[in-house]
Amino acid sequence: MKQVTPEQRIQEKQARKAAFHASKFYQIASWPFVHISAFYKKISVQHIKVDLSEAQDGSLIREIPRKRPIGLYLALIAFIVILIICFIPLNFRDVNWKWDYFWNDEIVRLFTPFKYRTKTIAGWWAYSWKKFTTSFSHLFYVCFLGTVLGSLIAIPVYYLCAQNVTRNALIRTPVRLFNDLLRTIPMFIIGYMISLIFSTGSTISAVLTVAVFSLGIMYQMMFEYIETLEMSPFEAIRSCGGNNLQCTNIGLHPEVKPMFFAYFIYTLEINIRASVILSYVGFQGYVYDLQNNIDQGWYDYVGAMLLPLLLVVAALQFISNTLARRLR
Amino acid sequence: MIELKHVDKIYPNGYKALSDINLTVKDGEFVSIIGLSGAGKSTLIRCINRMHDIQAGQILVDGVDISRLHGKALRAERRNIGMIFQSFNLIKRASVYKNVLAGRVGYHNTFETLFGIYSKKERLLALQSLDKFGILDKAYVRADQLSGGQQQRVALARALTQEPKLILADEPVASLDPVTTLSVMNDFTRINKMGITIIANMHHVDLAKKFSTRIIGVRAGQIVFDGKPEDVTDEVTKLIYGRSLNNNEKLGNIDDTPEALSEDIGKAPTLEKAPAKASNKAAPKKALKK
Repeated sequence: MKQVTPEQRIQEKQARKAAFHASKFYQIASWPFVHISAFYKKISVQHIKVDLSEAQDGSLIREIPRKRPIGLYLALIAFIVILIICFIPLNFRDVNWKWDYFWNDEIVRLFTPFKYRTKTIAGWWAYSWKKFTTSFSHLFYVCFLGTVLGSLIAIPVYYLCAQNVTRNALIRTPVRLFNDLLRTIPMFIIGYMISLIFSTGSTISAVLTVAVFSLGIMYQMMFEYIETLEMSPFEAIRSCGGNNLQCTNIGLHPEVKPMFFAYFIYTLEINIRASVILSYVGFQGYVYDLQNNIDQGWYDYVGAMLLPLLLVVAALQFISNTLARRLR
Repeated sequence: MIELKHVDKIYPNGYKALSDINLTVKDGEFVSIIGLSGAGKSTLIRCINRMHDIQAGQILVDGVDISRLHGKALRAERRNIGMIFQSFNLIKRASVYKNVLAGRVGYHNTFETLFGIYSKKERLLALQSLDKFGILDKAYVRADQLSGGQQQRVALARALTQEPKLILADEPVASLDPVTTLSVMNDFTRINKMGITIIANMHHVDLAKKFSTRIIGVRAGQIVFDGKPEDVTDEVTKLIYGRSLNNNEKLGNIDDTPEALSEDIGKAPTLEKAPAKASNKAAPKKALKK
């Protein structure tokens, strides 16, 4: 049997490459690429001449190569061009200013009792409390359950997506592609598809819609965070004799966990704010009531319903910020 | 006993890091590997527990050819080989106790480690190995709140919890100050006296000469010197480093350092608490930026 040393194998590979480069086909097919890359190389490097002599008399001139960020320039030009194009067809004169009307009437009407609906200030607060305990709390439970479900599904998914954990591109790429696809489809279409299976207006379809939405947010943010992490503990556990799953669980998971909780609350907050999508699944509750009140013109009811939403979202924002800061 | 026979290591870009390495390390030896940066010291050490694959030759650890092993068998072999890193490679967010228990990973399946199921004997072993380095009282402290020397001792305790026959140390004291360096090196000597073979990369020839029983000089992927510490003369350093070392490149007379000072510097609280607090304060700023 012929013994082939690794060096010989590499040499053979290089020789094969050189033969291919010398072939007629390669020389003909490559000419546009060759010229373009030569032109790019020519313009991408700038040579700065510096006089290093003491007397500055040009006796010791050195050249320092400096790269021009061509890609950045092109992106900047494209940005400016798009910005200018935007202004051409759009007509900004169609605006009808109503600032006085807005401030004096619309906003104030939301937070003042109306004589035919909430009647008194106490009535306004009573309606707000009633909605907080009934339809808004239901919305919160649905969003919470959906976020928990989506985040739990996201745990294996974001490890599979992270390049430094899953080295095998054959596993990583399909998972990423599937998730990207999931995020590309508008949420109300997925909600509609889910409600076709689990019947329109059912709680399960509402929870599942929120879960899919949360999965999209969680996996994206988490795998980008994981890819910034140091791999040194991972390596240490590997040297102790752990398999890949053990390395991830012991070495990487402690670093990832706090960020998971911070992003969990952030996702929950987004879900509550974006809960309009639940009306697409026919979830009769908070959003339905809100739309109904707006349609009827009962603006004091609308304001009374919005207050708990504002307070809960603000509280969640505060908690997620504090967690992200503290747990790091 | 470790035997390396005609070991070649070629990186994917064609760079030949090791060429025809032949080496035999007996049980109980303390081997120091010295050489320039990029000479192949780290590659040599990482090949022994197969963190890197080798392209030709054999590496026999107690008669088992580690370069032919795969999957479960490789992991089972790795748990007999402890490894110490330059940057400690601790799990920063976990407690010291959990870090040390992580050394037992090779003895458990995935399900057991997922829920942290370790036997009573193993927990005792972890605490005992922490006690050997005088950091038992830090067992429930988070690993990133310790000083550099203490962190390296945690790494040593983790390696010891593996119950290894061999410990590989990749520049173990390169990121420590001179005094801590000596105390950590004393710890290495103590481990060596327990009967564990140690192979360590060293930057300082003086340290290697003082603490090890055998010195190997590596240059451009080849072993150019193999002998006792007494034999390392100026000619030998010239062979390894390309020129003889100046006086200012040596550590000085390290035998003068009192043992009491090097034994435990963990008793100087003002020195250690300050950086830990600073790092805590610096952390939230990072979070805010995001």
